[in-house]
Amino acid sequence: MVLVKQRKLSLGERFYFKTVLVGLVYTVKNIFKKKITRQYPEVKLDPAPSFHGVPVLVQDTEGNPKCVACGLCEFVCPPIAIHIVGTETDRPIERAPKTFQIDMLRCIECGYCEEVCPEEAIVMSQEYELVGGNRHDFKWELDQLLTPESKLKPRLEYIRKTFHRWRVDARDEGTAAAVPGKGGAGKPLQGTKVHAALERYGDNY
Amino acid sequence: MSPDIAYFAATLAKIVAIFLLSVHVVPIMVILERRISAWVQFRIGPNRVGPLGLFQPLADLVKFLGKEDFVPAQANKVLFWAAPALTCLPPFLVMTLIPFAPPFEVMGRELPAVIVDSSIGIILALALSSLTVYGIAIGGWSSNSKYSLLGGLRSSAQMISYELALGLSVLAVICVSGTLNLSDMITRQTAFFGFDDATGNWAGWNIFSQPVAFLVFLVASYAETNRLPFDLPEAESELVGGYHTEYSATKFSLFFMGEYIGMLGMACLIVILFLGGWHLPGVAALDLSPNVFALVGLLVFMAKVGFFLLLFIQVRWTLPRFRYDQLMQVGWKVLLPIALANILVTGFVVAWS
Repeated sequence: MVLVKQRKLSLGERFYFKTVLVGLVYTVKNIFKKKITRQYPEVKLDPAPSFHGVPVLVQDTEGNPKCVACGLCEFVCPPIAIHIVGTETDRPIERAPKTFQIDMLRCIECGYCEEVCPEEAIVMSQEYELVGGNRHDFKWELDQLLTPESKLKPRLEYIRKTFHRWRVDARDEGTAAAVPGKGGAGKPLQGTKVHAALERYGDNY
Repeated sequence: MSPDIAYFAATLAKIVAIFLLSVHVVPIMVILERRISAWVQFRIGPNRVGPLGLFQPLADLVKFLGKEDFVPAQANKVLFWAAPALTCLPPFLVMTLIPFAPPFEVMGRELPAVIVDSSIGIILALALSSLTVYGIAIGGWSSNSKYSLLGGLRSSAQMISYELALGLSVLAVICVSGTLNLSDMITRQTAFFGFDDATGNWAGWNIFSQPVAFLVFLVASYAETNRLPFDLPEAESELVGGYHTEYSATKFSLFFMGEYIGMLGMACLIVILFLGGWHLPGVAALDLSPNVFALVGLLVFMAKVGFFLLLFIQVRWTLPRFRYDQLMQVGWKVLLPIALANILVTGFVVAWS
């Protein structure tokens, strides 16, 4: 048992009036301070790159989806919001989605699809205003989801900086040692991007 | 026009005027309460309805009227209906006793700006204002809800505890001013700070001669009107809504109105008893015509009352609610002895001077 000794209040303190006055001065001062409410419909939120809006598909400069319809996002999606049907193309990257449907009423904006995607093809956008008159309006199809890469620049840079780190690096550097936990005791090679990043950000990276 | 009819017409006009005045204080207080509470908490508050959100009380009213007027199945129907009226009526009756301004002069006749210039005004005001508790207790009991019952019981216990301190602090003021009539009480505070040259009695504002009584009265008036930090009867965090948990629509808004008019009445009493009513140093020396003087007096009185109403709001958003035993302790062990000691000292001073 811990006995906390209470300080004995002086007579002035026990009268409480001084405390009340101090409190009144504080609340009156508050009235004239800057308000923190955002007047939402008029003043919109300006999301940071780390913001999880609705997921969208990245469109490369030729207008094609980066997606190769591997189905990883469909598999990892916790609320089963993604539905993909793949197809073949004549382009150098042979696979592409025929249909790519995200049910935005199911989507919980967790970002797992983005995290699991090997192609940086699906990312969380900064769009957070979802409005529709019926359930069908929220089933976004491929053409609604496709967003030019230029519009998603901040988010792409952000995910490269955070969880895309070792995958990109391992492919670029061509070394197994760059993948933490696999091969080479998890020590990144001197001179690799991962090494530099670890030097810079420490274990949080 | 015979004097009787003139008197009747004047009184009727005054009743209408004072009724409208006090009714319109409610929406103003509602919007002020909501905006100030928002500002204190770094929010903006309701600003959508009309310019600056000024029509928000109107929207509130429409909402209140549009709600279902629900009566719980096991409630005592008659008392359930009577309670809001019993809460709302006494504060209005208190307002009839309040002298708002110096007498006007209409058609060569003196017209006092008070409906009932009673010779026992202050006692009547205290008696009427304490009737509010019946409405609250009956409302709490007739709802047949545990929360409401607790709220009503708390209210009656609180009223009994604080009524004593309130009455005793007023008694000291009565000792000093030597009258029970509210108008006379104001006219005896003709100086800001000082004695009457002719009689040698105290003629300044009573707040300077009775600072202790003023503080006791102020604190007790918060408890009388069920305002924070003494809003135990409706303590949201403990009793859902307290005595008005089961009330909805117009009946609920009547409780609301009763609370705000009660605040207005209490603020008026504070101003009359301690702050010289419509008296403002320097105005009497200007030698204005009676009507202008009365109008200035009305504005001064309203400004003082407005200050206390704002203080009511500001204190609500500054102080946390007392615990119930603390409430009783403050009432019986602090305010009552202080008021008693104050009246004792005042009595000796008045007797020996």
